[in-house]
Amino acid sequence: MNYKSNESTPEIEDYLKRLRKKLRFMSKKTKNNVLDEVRSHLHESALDLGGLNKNNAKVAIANYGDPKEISKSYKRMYGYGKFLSVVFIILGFVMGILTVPLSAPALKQELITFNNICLMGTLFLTTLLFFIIILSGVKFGRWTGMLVGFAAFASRGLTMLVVTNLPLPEKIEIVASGGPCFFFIIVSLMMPVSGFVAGRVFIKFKKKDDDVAWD
Amino acid sequence: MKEKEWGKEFKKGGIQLCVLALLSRERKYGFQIIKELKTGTDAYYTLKEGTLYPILHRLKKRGYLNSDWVVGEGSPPRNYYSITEKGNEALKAALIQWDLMIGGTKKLLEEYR
Repeated sequence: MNYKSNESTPEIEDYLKRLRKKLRFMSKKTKNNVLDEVRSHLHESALDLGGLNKNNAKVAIANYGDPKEISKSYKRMYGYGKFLSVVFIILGFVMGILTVPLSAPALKQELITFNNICLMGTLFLTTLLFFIIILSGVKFGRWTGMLVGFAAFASRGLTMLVVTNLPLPEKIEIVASGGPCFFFIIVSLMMPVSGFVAGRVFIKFKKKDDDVAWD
Repeated sequence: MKEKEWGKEFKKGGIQLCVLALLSRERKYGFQIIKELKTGTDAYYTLKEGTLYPILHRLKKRGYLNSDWVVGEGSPPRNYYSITEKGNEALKAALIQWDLMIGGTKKLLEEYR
């Protein structure tokens, strides 16, 4: 076999580039290991066909399979990298702060529009936060889902503690006692639970060993 | 169910067993495994080549295989897979199940052919 370690073909390098793109967000180590193995295989396959040239590279690539389908198998197995999990945890924390409900009950008449905007905004952001928590549970697994939910839970609690001890603008209140406060605690507690449950439920439906494409 | 779909169902478990069996005697690299899978089974296991590697990675993740990169002269760097002690035990257990399944199924089917 006549092979030089630094040689390749533009077709193979282009294929690897497309695969790298599809494997984004996976950990760097895993991604590089996968790409090294694919390069090695494509070179081996082209050489077996007669040499590392354009036509053989094309056949080797066709035999190897669609990068999109291949990347799916790896993503199912390895999941995404830690970096993206951390991004989601930070996002959960920040969103948690934004979902602490503000209201102005003492000035209902004058601030009716302000109240409505705050209520709608809080509802929208809380729904969005639940979506992010559930998505992280599904994409990164139950423990990360729970961590994202816990970050939101913690930031909501901390914000509530800080804000209730701060002098607020005149007649604007934070829901800090009674029924609404109980509701606030329940919603906050549901966050880590929903992240965990979403990941746990998804695992049951996860496609596992059916990744092989047959000729 | 069409013939191809039956094949897919049967092949699903069989491929892992065959990979473990192929590696039970000596270490091999991916391209070599694909070729031997094809020739050794009269092309029954002919798969899109890229889909073998996730199987190898999964078996490695379960502790059944190890892998090592070997850089040789005149050939691309090769990631050699070898079976572990745990993999050998899994292979033995799988072969027992395989024999029981083939024996039992064959016995019943012969009566109904």
